[in-house]
Amino acid sequence: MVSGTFVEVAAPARNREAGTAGTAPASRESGWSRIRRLAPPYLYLVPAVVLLVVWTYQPLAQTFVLSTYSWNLVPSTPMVDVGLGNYERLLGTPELGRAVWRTVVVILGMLPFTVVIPVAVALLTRRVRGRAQGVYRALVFAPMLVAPVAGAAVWQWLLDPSAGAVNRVLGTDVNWLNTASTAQWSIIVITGWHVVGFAVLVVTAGLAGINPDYAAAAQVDGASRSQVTRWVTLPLLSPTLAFLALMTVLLSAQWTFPLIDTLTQGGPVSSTTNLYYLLWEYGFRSHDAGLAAAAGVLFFLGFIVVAALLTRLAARLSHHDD
Amino acid sequence: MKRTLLAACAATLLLATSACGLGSESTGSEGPVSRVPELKPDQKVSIVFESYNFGQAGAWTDTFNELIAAFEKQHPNISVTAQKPQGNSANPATDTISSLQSQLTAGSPPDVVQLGFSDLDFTVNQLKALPLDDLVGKDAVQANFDGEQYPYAESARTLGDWNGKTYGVPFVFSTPMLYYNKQLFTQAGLDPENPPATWAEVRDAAKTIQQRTGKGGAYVDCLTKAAKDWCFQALVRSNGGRVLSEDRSTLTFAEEPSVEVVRVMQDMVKAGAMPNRTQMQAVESFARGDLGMILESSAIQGTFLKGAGDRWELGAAAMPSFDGKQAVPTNSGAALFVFSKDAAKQRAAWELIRFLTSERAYTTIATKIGYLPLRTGLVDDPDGLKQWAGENPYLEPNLKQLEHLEPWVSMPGANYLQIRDGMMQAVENAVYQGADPAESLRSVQEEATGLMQGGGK
Amino acid sequence: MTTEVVGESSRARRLGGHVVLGLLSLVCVFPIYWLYATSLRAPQDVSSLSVLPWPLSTASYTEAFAKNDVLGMLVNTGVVAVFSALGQLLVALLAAYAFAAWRFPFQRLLYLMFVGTWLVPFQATMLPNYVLLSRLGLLETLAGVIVPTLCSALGVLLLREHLNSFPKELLDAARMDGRTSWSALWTVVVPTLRPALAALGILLAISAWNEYFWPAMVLQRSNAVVQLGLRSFMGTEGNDWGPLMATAGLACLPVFALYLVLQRHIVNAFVRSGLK
Repeated sequence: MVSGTFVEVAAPARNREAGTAGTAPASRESGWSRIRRLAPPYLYLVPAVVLLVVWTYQPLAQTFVLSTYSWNLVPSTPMVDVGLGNYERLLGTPELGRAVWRTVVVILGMLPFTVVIPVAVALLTRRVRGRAQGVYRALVFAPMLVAPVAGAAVWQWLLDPSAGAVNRVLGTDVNWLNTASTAQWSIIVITGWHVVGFAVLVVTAGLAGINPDYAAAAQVDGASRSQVTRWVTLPLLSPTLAFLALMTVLLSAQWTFPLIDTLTQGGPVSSTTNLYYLLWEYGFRSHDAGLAAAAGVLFFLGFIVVAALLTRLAARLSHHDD
Repeated sequence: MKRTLLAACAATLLLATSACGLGSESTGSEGPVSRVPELKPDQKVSIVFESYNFGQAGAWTDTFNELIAAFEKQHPNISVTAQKPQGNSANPATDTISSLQSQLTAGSPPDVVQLGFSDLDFTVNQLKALPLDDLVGKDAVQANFDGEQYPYAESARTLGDWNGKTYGVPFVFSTPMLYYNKQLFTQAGLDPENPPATWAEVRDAAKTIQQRTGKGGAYVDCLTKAAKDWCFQALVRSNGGRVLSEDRSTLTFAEEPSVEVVRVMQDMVKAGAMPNRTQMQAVESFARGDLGMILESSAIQGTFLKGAGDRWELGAAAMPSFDGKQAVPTNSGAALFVFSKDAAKQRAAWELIRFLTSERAYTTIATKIGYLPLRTGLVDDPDGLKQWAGENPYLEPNLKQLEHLEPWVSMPGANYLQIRDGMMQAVENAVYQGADPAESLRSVQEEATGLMQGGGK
Repeated sequence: MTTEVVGESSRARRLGGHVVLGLLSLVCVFPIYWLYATSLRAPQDVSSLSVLPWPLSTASYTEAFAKNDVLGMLVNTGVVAVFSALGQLLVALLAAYAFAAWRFPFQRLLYLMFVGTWLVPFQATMLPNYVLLSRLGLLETLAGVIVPTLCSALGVLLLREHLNSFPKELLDAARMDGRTSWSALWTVVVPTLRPALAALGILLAISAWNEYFWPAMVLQRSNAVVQLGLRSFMGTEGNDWGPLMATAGLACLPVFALYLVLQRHIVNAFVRSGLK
């Protein structure tokens, strides 16, 4: 049954217009007008759904099928059916477990940049007045506007062991990107630098959407400023924070990818090879289209599971203002 | 419930119809390649030339454009479209094979492709590059190698061969050279005209530089995954070993000669003679003047000269040897292969290859870009490159090394890339991260041997 | 715009805010400064690591313009960004309208289809998309870069949020006047949504401007978009940092300008939607 704003309101209008001219009772609605009534939402969805099917889901299905073969993409070479062999091969690599762990580390490392710092920044921006707010926001957002390749190149110089700015300021001579223990953190910091502006924007919006009456009421009851923040503001902000956390979990591996590809190529000695990069490498390096397809599919399935878990978690933990 | 069922049906339908998206049509390999006839003068053909050198705005693109224009003038009925490999790596050379694969699947591969020697096995056996001996006849191929006046260097002729047949015509190559900063040498009290000739001497010189000037000592750009395995193979060969047995059936990079190489290098790092750097960091460091010596491909020479400018003088020497043994350099570089399906395009492709490897082309390439011409006789020709060679003192060690040059051996099977990367990762782990060389190499060799046998899919 | 609900800030608190924000802004902006500084160095100093570029030189810019048709690239990238954003906005608007204004069978499933695209990794679809583009003859064209990206899940999600909080009374009033859903969309909904559409459009345009994965697959014979032009300074024999930084600097300017001009809209739009 299609219902909603347009149809519900339309029905009485139609009756009024029809007047006494005997409109067809609902039970004997003609086929054509039935379609006309049911169609609109689907029609509006047609462009988007067609695009999705053609450019996302059909290729995905093709990839599913391809993942059960072994093939080097040369048309004259036969595709060898290996069933689930590609998946077995992928799940059996010792690297996979380590890559999963590294991905968890990346996600946990990104959360400060997408949740903690933006909240701090958004709260602090409220303290400064007028023009300064806009200026700070613009400056913090600026890294998002830089081309990924150029950004990576600049950071590579900043992290140069012998005379990069970072080492000069800190007085150390660590090779940040080429030491197994620090490479991962360097990547996290650079990615965080890139996305912090976007997260600040989202949190600012979330803050502004909170009804000021709550805080005012708490103040009237004698709560101090920090108490208000802690017990009123932050909980009301939780849907926004949950959204950011979800985005971080789902997309941080993808955000780090261009950086890893340009700066460390997964090294040194695999210390920056997270799951996304591992599957990319496996697929790409093997020149075996079937294996690459299996890697893509595996990632997709894994993510569905993670996303489902997280959405359930988020729904349970967030307080909604209704 | 009904809705879920409907959705499931839709998904299955989608899956079923999607199989006709990609796929191979034939049941097996194509028949033997037959000789293609010459082109008639009024027969118009257009071909596509793909090279990773095209990706970079600079000397290569300009030179290529110049050569292609000259070619089209000579052959007015052939038009050439140039392109770079498709892909998103910062270094276009990484994308060559996957680019070719995508285009093969879409049904329109480029006609002439420049591919590296490390991919030779895969190119010939998996991607099915066309055998030039069958396409235009062995005499024609050899005649091209002989050229009009200056033939290819002996060691360069067979680099693109497989099982006795020529599949690719070697186009460009470079050898590993020891570049050094003459100024830093002087500052450290070393003789800038007497560069180290053995690895032990390199180690001592590097330590001296590091102690007396505070700059980096020496960097051997053969020991990381990014560097690939071409000069690691040179190091192993120079120590009397091999990474792959001569019959290509067994991996041998965990045996004593290569383990010793890794130990020597690891030792240099531990002693502070070699700094821990990535390939990119080391190249830039040397160009900046912050590194004393670097073992690097002669192809990067231009970058070093530019970086040196007038602040310091670049020195070049042959690859150092291990005590008592002869140094064996390997060549890096690429060859030109043909992938067209159409007979007319195949002939046109061959004409382009002949042109790009002619004396005239090599003269242009050498003077404009600085690569060593494979027709080595050109450097003695007063009308050719004699003057350029005179102005280019770095050629001398490069040419001398040609006598002992051995080819860069490509790993076998469909998983060659994983084998190669695994090996280099083990080397990197040992040299820069302190892992035990013997153990590190041995465990990777075991894994890789499994890949070799599983390969051939 | 902000709700200063807890009374006048004391000077100290304001100062504290300035300090922290100032530091953060510095860290955010310093790499960008470095980018421009490098582009203004003399060619032999390009690898230099000194903080101030001296002597200043425009050699890198000259070289960048000589090696690439920089203006042409910027125009092309602009075309791609604008058309991508417009196309994505239109498609997303229609889809979000459907979700917000009606209740219909399969609604949840269709919605999940949109969310699902966030879960599909690029490598799972790039090869089939490439083959399809090849069959459609759209390789080497800007259209080939734009068309596969026209359905933006982010756009649909955000607009749906906005539309859900859209005052129903306005829509009802439109119905009372007997308008069709189509005309209601364009005469009532869009004008009210203008700031949100503008903000989303800018975000989508910025995203399309910085995109390089897909253009790298589609445009093999030319450096039509500026991100590819950047890569033309990177190669097997080392990277050409001076012109690369110059081109990157030029590539950032239009986006910076756009952002500064429209900054207020973006924040306002997010604020009004109250992302929940």
